[in-house]
Amino acid sequence: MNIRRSIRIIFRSKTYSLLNIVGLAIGITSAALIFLWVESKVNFNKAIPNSRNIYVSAYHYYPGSGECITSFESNNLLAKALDDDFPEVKSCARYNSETLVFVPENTTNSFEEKGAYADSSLFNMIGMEFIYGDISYVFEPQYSIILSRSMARKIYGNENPIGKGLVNEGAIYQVTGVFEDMPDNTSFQFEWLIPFRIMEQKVKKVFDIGEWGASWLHTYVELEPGVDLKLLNDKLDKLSFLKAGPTYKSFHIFLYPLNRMLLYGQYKNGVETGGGYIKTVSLFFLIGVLILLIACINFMNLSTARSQKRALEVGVRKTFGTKRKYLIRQFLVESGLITSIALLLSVGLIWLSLPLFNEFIGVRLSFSLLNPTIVIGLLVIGLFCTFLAGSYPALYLSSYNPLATLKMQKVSKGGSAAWIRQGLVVFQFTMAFILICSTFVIYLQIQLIQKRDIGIVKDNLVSFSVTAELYNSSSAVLNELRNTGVVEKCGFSANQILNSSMKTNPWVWNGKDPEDDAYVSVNFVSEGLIGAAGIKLIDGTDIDPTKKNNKGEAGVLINETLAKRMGKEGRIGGQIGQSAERKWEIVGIMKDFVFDDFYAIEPASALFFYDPKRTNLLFVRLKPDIETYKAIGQVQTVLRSFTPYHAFEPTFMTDDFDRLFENEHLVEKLSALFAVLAIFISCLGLLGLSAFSAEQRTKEIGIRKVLGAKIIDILFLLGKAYMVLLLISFVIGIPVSLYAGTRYLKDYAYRIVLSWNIFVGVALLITLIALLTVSFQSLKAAIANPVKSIKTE
Amino acid sequence: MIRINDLRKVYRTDEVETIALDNMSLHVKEHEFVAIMGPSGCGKSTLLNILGLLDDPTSGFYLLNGVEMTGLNENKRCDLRRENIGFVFQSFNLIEELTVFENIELPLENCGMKASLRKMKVEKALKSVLLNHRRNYFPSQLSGGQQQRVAIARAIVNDPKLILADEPTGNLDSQNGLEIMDLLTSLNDAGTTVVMVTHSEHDARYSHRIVHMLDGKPVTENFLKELAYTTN
Repeated sequence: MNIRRSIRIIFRSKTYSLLNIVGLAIGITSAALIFLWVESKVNFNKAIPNSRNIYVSAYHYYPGSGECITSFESNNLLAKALDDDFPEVKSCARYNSETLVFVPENTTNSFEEKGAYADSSLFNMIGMEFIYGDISYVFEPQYSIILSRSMARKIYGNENPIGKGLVNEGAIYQVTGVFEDMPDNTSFQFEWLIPFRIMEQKVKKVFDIGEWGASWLHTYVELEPGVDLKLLNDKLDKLSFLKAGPTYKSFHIFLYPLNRMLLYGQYKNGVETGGGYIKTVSLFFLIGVLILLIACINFMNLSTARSQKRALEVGVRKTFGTKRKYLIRQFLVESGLITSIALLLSVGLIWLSLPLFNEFIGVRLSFSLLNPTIVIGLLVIGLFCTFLAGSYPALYLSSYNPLATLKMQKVSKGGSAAWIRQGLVVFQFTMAFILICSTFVIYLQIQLIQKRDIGIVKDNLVSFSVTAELYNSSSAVLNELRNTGVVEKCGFSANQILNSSMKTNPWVWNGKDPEDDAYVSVNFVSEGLIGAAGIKLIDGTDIDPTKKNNKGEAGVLINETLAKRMGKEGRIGGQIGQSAERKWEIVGIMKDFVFDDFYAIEPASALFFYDPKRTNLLFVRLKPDIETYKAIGQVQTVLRSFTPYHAFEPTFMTDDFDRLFENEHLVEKLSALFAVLAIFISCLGLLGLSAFSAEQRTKEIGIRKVLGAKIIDILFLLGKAYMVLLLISFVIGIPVSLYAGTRYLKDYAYRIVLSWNIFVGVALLITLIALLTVSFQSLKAAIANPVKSIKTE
Repeated sequence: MIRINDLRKVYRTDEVETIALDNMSLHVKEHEFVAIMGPSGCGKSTLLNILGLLDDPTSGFYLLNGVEMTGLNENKRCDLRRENIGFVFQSFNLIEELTVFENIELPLENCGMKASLRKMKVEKALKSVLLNHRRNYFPSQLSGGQQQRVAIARAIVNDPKLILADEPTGNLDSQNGLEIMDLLTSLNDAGTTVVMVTHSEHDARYSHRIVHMLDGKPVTENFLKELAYTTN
């Protein structure tokens, strides 16, 4: 085997080799980027040493009617019960993440960081490593806090922070430890940890945390190795029944493997849907393989198309006694060489494009040739391409009859190779068509949702986290904000407006249908909130704390859906409550607005109470004609007059809204990117093929021109063959795209109607691109001087 | 060396049946130089292809060194070609991407021969066609005569007992043609059997015997020289 000689052969035909190598390199790069992303999702949480034995507590809730609701939250009592009564359980940790603002003692700087309240059992469970602090002591002081290496450095530089104080909401937390930054790709993304008991204290003020049915936190459970999960979950179900009694018969607690959370943790009506992230991940894995396939097809097509050039060599070698298997080997070595060059090129391309790719889809993937998984992955891709791309040409070329090739017969004209080549082109363009159609369907669906009138005005709406000083003097804050002149409307809210599902016990009203599960989403607000959010009233007025009824209450707001559900009682002056004795008067009926499920055709029921002390967020609608950053500055000044030294970072509702569709946007971006790449690679192949066929037909074109054919006739002649192939691609692609589109849209109640425009538009687009590609070469052939072309041969 | 009896070769397409060889019989002795002449389409090339194991006869017998050659599989024929036969073509059939040295080396590849031995053999062949100084050239850098000499070197590199030449001077001017014929003659003098198809009376006169063919069979034979007596 003479590698140097093979390299020379490859570089002799520069155009073809260049097309092959560039096509393959782009294909490999695309596939590698996809596979890197897929790998990060598949290995989510696996960076935690013991992740196999870690579970998260979840529950199914079966309301009287309607679908079962599954939530990965748990109550405050479960951890202790598991620790006490279950020998299979090694340890339990309660966990709730939150973003807090800390001010280092005796300074005026503030730091807003994501962190969590957790039990100290979490440290060992997820393998945290401490740089400073004694693991058994760090949570001993009542108000203690431990920081990540990054956060400690950000606040204290290289100083040892042990013993320093961090202030949040009036409490001073003593830094007792510093831990190594958590790995990126896990559920545990926190920069600080505070003992969970602090969270308990805070929540206790709001509701009874001793209730078995009150689920508001996460419980992580580490089991001893080899525990039968099913048996344990049965036991857990019984415990749940014992603890909660018959009231919570419809409430089933179970443990769910941490490693499965991201990919499979999606339930519908009490059953794993098999959907979840795994669907997206598998889909893109498939797209990665398809793109490799498309790139390999280029290779096959170009090699067989220019087989005439290699035929003589095959003939001579065979004549002088080289057996077929050695020829096959030689062609495989050549494809291996081309793949290797492409692979090297793509390593460079991955390096260059990864930061852009990360930016584009908002991830932090890393690529290092020191990582054995990546090296093995690249080798597998290389072998895949070598054999897939090389085997067909090797088998085809080596099968030539030496006699025929030596006589210089037209060996590649017609015959099975041409058929296969055309079939492969059809395959490439069918795939490109399907990918592009899918991208458009996804894009249109996302546009539809984003343009949907959700009954909330998102523009100019900004929210801030609220401190105790603010909600304790809510009316004064609101007044001062209105007086700045930059604020149109403002109000406090306990929940985000876009996802406000606070689960509560059943509600009652007069004339309630006994079949109705009376599940209502509840929010606590101040006056002015609905105005700020842009929610319209169809009847009654906003809550007004100055106009209390004889019971001293400001009344409640309900939405249209709830009003309809309540029947006669769903009116101004109607009453709703948690028991016959404890009821509130309805003062306003809100026009329906969409929250939680943006694909639902009809919004869920919503109920707003007046209770500023329970609120967490301040929503401010800025006047549209004022510069945003100036307006926010003025709002912050007002807020800081109540709570000095607090950062009050604004969150824009439009960003919040976009974040809800992160996964959809991701799918949209990925599919758009790879659809473009797929069509690009396919066109590279087409460019090569058209060059080849123009070259093969040089003489024919010359004769036709002598006989009076015009350039346009020649272009049409050469383009016609490809038009037929494209048409076949579309005929196959349309039903497949239609099916895939329908399947995709099935998950959304509020969705676009698939119209022919999409398919016809995409078909025209591809035709245009393909014809441009083809005519580039054909034009060259068509305008060539016929006298010259006839003389060749 | 070569004995063929009642050899028939019929080409069939959908409608037409062409008889290329019609009960052809021929005997070529060891060390003989035979020229085959005849008009286009008389079956000369078909005969040469069958002799070279590139094609199978429709019927008849072909004994090479006393061994029956018809009905062998492709792998076996490959081995026999490599070990026994050298080919020279009118259009040289050198591979453009390979150097002179590599072109000559082709028949030695993939048969388990050591690189050093291969190198020796190629150098010997290069020397015998007087092209040692052109070993690293590519075919396109050589004149037609030089290219054909490379082709002859390739044909003899494996020390074949039989050389089959298909109009070896057809693409050359007379001066270069002369050189090639001298080369073939000297190879024959050294003991290699040569069967050559040609249109040129002049070239044919280098041989011991000229066989004239028409319509797929030999019509006349001219004996030009006696085959020198050999001990085997």
